[in-house]
Amino acid sequence: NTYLLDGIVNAVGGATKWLGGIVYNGLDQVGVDGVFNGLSAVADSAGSSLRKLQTGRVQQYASGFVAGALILVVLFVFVI
Amino acid sequence: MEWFETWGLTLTVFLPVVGAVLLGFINRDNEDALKITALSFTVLAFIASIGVVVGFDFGGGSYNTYQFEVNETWIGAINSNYHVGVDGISLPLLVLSTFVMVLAVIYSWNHWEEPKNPKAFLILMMILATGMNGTFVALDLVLFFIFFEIVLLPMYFMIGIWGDRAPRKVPGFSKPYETRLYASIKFFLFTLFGSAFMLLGFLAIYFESGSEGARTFDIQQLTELGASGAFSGWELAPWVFAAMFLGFAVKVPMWPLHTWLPDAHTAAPTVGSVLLAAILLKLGSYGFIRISLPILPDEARSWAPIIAILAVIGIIYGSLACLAQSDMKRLIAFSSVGHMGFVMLGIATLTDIGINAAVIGMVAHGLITGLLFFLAGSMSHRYHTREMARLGGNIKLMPVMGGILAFTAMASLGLPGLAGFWGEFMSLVAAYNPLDGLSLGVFRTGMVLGAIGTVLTAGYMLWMLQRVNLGEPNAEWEGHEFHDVDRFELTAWVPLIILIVVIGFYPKVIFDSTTDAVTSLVDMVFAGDTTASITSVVKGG
Repeated sequence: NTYLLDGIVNAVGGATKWLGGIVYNGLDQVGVDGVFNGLSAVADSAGSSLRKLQTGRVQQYASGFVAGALILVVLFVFVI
Repeated sequence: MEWFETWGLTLTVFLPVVGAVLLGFINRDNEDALKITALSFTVLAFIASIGVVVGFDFGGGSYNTYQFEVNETWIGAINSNYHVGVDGISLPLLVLSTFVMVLAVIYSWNHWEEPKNPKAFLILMMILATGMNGTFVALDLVLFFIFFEIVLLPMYFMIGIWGDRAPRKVPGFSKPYETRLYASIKFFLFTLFGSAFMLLGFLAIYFESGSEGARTFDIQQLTELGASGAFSGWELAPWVFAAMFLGFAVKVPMWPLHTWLPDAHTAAPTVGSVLLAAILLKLGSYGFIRISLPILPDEARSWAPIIAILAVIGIIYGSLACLAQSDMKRLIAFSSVGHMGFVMLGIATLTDIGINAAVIGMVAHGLITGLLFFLAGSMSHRYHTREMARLGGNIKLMPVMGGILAFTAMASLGLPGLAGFWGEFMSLVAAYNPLDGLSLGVFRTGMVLGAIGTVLTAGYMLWMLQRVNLGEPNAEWEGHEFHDVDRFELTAWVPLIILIVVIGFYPKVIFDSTTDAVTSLVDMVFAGDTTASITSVVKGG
């Protein structure tokens, strides 16, 4: 009897500790914290990708303007 | 002492920042002058707050009446005033703030973390003190917001400059960052994200508070409007409550917005962790009581079960996460998630017992967890590690330190007779019987899970004690001489120990202040049930 009760108590303790590990290492660090770290990583990579657009070459910017103007023309003339 | 009636709170709030200005004129090498100036101004602010306690009329009066009130025009164009005052709810928190600040300066006396520079550190502490004290007395939403935000910068610099330098790999980023940089930016962004929404909520309330020219940021007037049902049936109200919820919930912190906390607490210098745990977290829970509940009572009702569920998740989740920690400071940090869960569960019941529980829980958590962080800081100062696996047998190496640690851990796990017991116990009592109309199922399940949480809390605290304090000292410490607690540490800690025992045995010291205010708050805001719903029908139709 003593062994049985002790066994149950130890099992509950062990299971709780195991659950703690799952909650912290899995759910918290990978799950919840992962979401927020992921958001910051997205912002970071978006920043570095967009930075490549800034080449400083005037021709590239100008062709961008022209392309944009063309799209607007198409929109105004044919769509609206 | 008539002048003190008008100047008492202003002195309490602004004396530290005057000290900060004076510190700016002292040579950075003159460490003694710096420390004495900082100490004098924090002590003066503490004395001023004690003056407020002495002059405070504990006879009560109904909710939304404030003492030591000052109301001067500040920004006329938007009808924002310098309106400050205290009631029974904010008084204990104000004193907690000024009190812990004094102890923090005393502790810093000979505990400077790299890169030292006491001048800059003390100036930041003084600014922090003004922000914290101000938040507890502000009665104008703009003023409240400014004090709430002032707190951010000093803490950001404290963590970012004096924090832990160990490298840390962040998932999603290629190169590792120093822990202090990661933690400080995380703390800053989280809080700023929350308070940006909170500000939007404040603005929405301002525009809804009246027609042009009659709009107000005044918390007292808005409380009157809210209690009389002026915001009932306002279609934006759920969003406004949600926006303010984000701001306060990040600060508390409530699950799942808590992940800045373990990083910030663990990386911060000792004094930073102490102030963060003892006071900064309370700004959030105080905001719920002072602003969210009274101004938007209908939304508070509909949100209460959600807040309760998140609070209970916080209790269980925080405690389980504690069981998985190997770093002592991180364990204490996670324990805050659980303890603040009890505070929020109390608030969510929307009853007088629950909100009383929340206030005493906040004070107790401030004293106990503040002391735990002091201890963790002093121990890692001596062992140069916070890994519990390498500690052990601490009580043999440093009997006094070990003894205080054992005492504080007992207080933290909610041992009856010490301060931590009342907040947890009463919040569970309140959860059995929440405000009429709230789901009994949710709250009673919360009560049972919260009770299981107290067992888990006892589990991880005792396990920490076993790993840190008991057993034989690790072989690596053989031949090391450890200085037990020094006199600055004792001076900073003994007052905390005394208060933990006093509040534990005689919680009336807090309840005498809070009970009247809390009871009349609940009566005023949540008892006028029928009138509120009638108004909403009239206004909605």
